[in-house]
Amino acid sequence: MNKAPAFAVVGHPNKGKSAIVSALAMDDTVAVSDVPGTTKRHSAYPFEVDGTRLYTLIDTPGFQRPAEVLEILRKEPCPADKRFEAVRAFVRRYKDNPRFADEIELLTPIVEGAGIVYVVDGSKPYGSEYEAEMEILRWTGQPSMALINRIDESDFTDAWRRALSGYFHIIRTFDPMQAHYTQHLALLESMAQMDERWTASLKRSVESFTAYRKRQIKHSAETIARTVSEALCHTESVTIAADVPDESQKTMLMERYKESLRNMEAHAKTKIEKIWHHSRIQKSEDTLSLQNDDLFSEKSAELFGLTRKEIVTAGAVTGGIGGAGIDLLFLGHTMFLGGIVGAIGGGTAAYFAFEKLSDIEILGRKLGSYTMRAGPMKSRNFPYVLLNRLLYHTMRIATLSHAKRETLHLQPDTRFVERYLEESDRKHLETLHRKMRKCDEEAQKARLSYAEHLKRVLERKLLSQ
Amino acid sequence: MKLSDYFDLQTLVKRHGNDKAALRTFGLAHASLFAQPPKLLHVWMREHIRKENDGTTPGEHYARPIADIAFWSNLVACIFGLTAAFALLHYNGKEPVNLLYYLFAAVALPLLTMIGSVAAMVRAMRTHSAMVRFSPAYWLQRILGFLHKEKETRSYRIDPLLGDWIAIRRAQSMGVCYGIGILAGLLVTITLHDVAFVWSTTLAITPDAFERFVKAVAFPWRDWMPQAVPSAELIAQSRYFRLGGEIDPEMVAKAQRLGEWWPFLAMATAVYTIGLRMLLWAVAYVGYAHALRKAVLRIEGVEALLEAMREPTVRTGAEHPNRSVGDSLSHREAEATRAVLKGAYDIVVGWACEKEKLPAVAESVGTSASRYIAIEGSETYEEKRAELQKISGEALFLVKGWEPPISEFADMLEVASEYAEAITVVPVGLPPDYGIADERWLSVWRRWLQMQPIEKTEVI
Repeated sequence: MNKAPAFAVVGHPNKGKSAIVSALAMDDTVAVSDVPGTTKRHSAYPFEVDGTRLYTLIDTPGFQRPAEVLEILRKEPCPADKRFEAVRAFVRRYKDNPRFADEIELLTPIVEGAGIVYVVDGSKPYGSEYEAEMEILRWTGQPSMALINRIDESDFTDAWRRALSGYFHIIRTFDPMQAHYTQHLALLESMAQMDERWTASLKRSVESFTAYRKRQIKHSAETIARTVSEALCHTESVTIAADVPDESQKTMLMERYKESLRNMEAHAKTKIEKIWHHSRIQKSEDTLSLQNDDLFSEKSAELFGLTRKEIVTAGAVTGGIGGAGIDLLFLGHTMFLGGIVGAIGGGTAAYFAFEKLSDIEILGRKLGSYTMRAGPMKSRNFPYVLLNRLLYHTMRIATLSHAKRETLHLQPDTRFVERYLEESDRKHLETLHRKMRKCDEEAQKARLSYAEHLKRVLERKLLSQ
Repeated sequence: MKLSDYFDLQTLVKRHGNDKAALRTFGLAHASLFAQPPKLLHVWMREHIRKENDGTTPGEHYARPIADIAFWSNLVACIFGLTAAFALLHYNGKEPVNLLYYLFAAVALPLLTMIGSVAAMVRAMRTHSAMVRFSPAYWLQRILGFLHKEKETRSYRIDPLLGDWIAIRRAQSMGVCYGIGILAGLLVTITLHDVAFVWSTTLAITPDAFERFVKAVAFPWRDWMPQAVPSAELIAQSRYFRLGGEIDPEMVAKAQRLGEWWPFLAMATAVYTIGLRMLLWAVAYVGYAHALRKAVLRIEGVEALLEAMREPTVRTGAEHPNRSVGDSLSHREAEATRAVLKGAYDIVVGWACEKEKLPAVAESVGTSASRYIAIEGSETYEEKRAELQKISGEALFLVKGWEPPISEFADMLEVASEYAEAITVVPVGLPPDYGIADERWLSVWRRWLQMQPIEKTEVI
């Protein structure tokens, strides 16, 4: 069996080598910096499936003295078939020489058999100083490809393509900060073309990566569904002495109830970040506001949830469907009264439940004291608010490059619900929200159906980009 | 899979469900079972199950009362059937036994309960049945929680669907036992006593109509066991009215014939009470097995467990985390003194620049010189050194601001510093406008020079 391929990501300093490795390896711990020389040693980032290594990416330091190295290599006349040996001899001879420490680090994996992924910055002009390093890489004779990474807005890609074509057969563009799933797969497929011995391994990598991506989506959908379901059924209770609690007790209980809901959301977000391998993410975002003014304001509804009109419409549709079932049972002899009454009932209930967060109830007396309970959630809008916040978070995290190090601002700027949930989705979700509110066995089934539905929504968005 | 396995699995999932690597190893070894999750789980359980001191598993221990309760409830049903038969067939010779009582208790009543069972099955298949909650068996399951106080088994849950089907299945077994009891009661009674059967009703039913009813009841066996089908003559002779308190002398004379009803009654009991119920029992068993399979897959954590077995473990990321991190300059303050750009220099050196463009680039940053030399990027090390030896006086190095400084440039600055009185490095911006590079790039150059100071050299 062929050894799993390795790819040394090499190039000039500060051209985004580490960012590319970070994005491809889905590892946000890779040191990425705008300061040259951040990477001092080569590091391996294997992709393993069931303990079998399918390929390894190797992050390397940038060339520091390419002209001098090339001069050493050229000192003795060397036919083309002996050039690989000459580079290997250079690595052996200077391996302990600090002057060529960076060159030794980057050439070592190549002379050990790694393919070359040469990275340049397509947003900066081509310069002849790159020729020395490209020539050294050509001397190794290893399979290679060039990656044009545009770090900034300017575009010198055409000049780079012309220059690179003299040294590399495969030239691709790849932006590690923006690259999504499809570009990631395309790059793996390009790497498979570098050497036919590596094709099988990389083909399996593509399949595994696709399957893994689907699993990440599934787990995210399950996390969201579970959180919404648990938040809808969550209650907080305290023991009180009298059967009529004072206002401070009520406020305290309600605050505790809201805090629990916020914690649930925060916990779900952390879990989603973990699913997508973002362990060191820096983010700024608003916490889940459960103040009536915020939760039910037009602004909040516009950003995350549904307006009162939309909620009432969804309630009426759900009630109407239930009533129509009765009409159907009586073969229409009810003159469609079931549907009409159901729609009116559903709409009215939704109208009055819109602004209600939760009741505070006093439960039965036990051993001389009473139990005061807040929850479960009454607000019709709450599940939409929570769902859309979590969907938004998932979409941002799932499409966030692991190469990004700056603070992520999680502030939706438009009606998220319209972008990600179609009308049919919303009707279906309203039905499932209603079932999940029952907090019984049927609610558990509804939760599974909810997760399945969210999975489809996320797949629709995430597998196409 | 047994009911006890269902309980044991709840414990094992909690105990071993997080060991993803071990689960995947197991999955790879049993990949042929991926399409049969219950079987896969069963094999996995067998590998992990731990027996108690008495040789049973915690699940078997927990489920044992269910079997015990089933046994005792079946026994009670059987005794009830037997007692019912004795009561219904009680005959003291003064008045014959109305066989309609027996038919009601042995056939009609069980048939009614069977209809209820079928309704419960249909409902259980669709959704959680409320009907089954009236079943004593359902409540017996609830009692299990009180019977077991061990920490491990106290947390066991019974899936409502499974609870329904346990109840439905138990009800059918009790029904069969009841039928066996009543049939045994009939056989014992007719063996030990002389019983005269009659049919008596207030309803205006003629013997012909009753005969049609009897023939319809005997439909399943009338062709292959005609002796168990009462004749028209017997039916006519068995009509009985209690009016006057006296038995028709003709009926008394033919008392032996009145006893000939028993094969019909026995067959009716065997076919309807026992046979049909056994059929329902078999259906209930299938439903129960299906519910058990479903319940097993619905145990909290089982789905994740199966996924860990079936889905490949994917590992991506650093082999040795943080190995690549060098001495990052990004956190150091750039405190190096900044050079002031002069209007003119003795020499302008273009680093990796074309010579003909140098005056224009120098002008773009607001300076000029009497001499210009360009160090081409493609030149060899020696050629570069030779060029730098031409430097004298104050030198201005124009470098590409967007290209990060590398050691090769540091080497050249050191060579240049041997010949120059002072060196000012000016990183320039992108062509075609050039000019001084933006602050982001300048700061990179300043920090770099700060980290490896070179004599007489400053960055603007």
